[in-house]
Amino acid sequence: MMGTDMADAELVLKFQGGQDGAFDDLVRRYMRDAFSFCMRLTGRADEAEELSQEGFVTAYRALRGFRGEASFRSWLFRILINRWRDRRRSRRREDARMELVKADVESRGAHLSSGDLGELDAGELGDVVKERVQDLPDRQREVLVLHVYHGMSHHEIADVLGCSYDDVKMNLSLARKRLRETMKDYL
Amino acid sequence: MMTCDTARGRLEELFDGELRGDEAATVQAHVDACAACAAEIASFRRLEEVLRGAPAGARPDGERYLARVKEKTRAQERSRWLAFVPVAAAALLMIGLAWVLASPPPPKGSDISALVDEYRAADAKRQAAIEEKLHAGGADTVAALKALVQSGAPQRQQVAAVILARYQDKSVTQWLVDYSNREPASQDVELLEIGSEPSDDELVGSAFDLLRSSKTREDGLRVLRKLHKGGLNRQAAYAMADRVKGLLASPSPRDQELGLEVLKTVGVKFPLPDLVDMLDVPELGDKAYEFLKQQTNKDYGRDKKAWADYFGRRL
Repeated sequence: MMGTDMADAELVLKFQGGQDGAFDDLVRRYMRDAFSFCMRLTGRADEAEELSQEGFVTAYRALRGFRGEASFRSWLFRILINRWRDRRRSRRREDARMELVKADVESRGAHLSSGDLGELDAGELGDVVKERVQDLPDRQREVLVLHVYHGMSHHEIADVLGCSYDDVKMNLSLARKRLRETMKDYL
Repeated sequence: MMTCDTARGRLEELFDGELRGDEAATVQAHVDACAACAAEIASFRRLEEVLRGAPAGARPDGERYLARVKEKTRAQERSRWLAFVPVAAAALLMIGLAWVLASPPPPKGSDISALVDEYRAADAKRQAAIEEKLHAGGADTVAALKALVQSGAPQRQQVAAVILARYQDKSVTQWLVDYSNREPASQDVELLEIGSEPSDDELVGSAFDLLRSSKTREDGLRVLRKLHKGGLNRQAAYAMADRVKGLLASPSPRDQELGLEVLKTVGVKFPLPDLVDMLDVPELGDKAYEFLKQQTNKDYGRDKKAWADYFGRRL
């Protein structure tokens, strides 16, 4: 992580020095992480693409003022979380779309809408995992996804989410408890 | 030796690698000796394996994804100043600025782009000097700045627009207003999101400046309403509450009235107890009283002590 942090810092400095291409490199470096994070938050590929791209747009505009108080990665994920929360707050129709996603999963159909975005996951267990993770309350899902799929420590997650270490610990515990219950047939 | 009750509260942290040194060793020693706690750790491991085994599925298409990010960035940059420039242009038409113009030679075309780039990162003093040089450049300089607004890189578009907005020539500022009205709004951009951007506390400050003139007050209130409705980030929200507080705390009745008007029309969340102090201020006391009644559904008249007691506050 230290090596990556230093490389990120170099790119950030280059961007702040006027090299726009440095930001392109940061996007290439983190697009997959950002996309998969948004994918696990939203459950839909088209929405994940849009949300993660919005995150990069926000990052582009704010990067000049970035002072390296956190790693670029944590900072980017914080932006993504904020965009995700803004979206939840302001677009009520997303709830209706999530219901459609659940209905699709229940009928065992593919729940990724954009076929040109790569291979779809067809395994039954994969579908179940996605559905159960989507069913988690928002904060529990955020914490779980950041920890399990992005390898973040509790402190790093607290930084990204703007909450305390104890909040992270508690929500991760609750998420695990819930998943162990809802997925007991698969464990 | 650690008991199960104590260990259970730390098992997940041990599993997650959050414990260090002696603490980790103590909990681990308990797990090694306790079948129940060891089983708990094993269940965490199993869950993690199953979760990690489910990939996200779709993947972003590299260069197409990057191209889309760039496209959205350009659209956002344009929309941001489109929302602000008509207000700035209107305000600056009304504000009389005394310019002391030296007579430097007009800058060349390539110099103009360089000056625009320099402006973005410059401090206020240098920005003023650049504006002075460009404003003295005549029709060619105006044409070059207009060209940057229409087709330059997003940062240059924004800066060129700001520089044009500050011209004292009404035809220039009118061109800017007409241009911004002519451009179709991008479907990717929601102006309501303005308040969500990290640097929009600057827009809050500028909007409050517009409130100072009776001719631009409505423009300022309109921008503040848009910002507030769009959802402010923490920095911008602090800036707004801070400005309102400053107005209400000002010894000037005009400022206090302005603060109340912002509270009323924009819907800013503000600590109501602070309004109690204004109840006995001539003219403004009525407005403060009406606002408190409306927000609390209580009526204690002009009795400051009663209001203070209601808020649990000491006078």
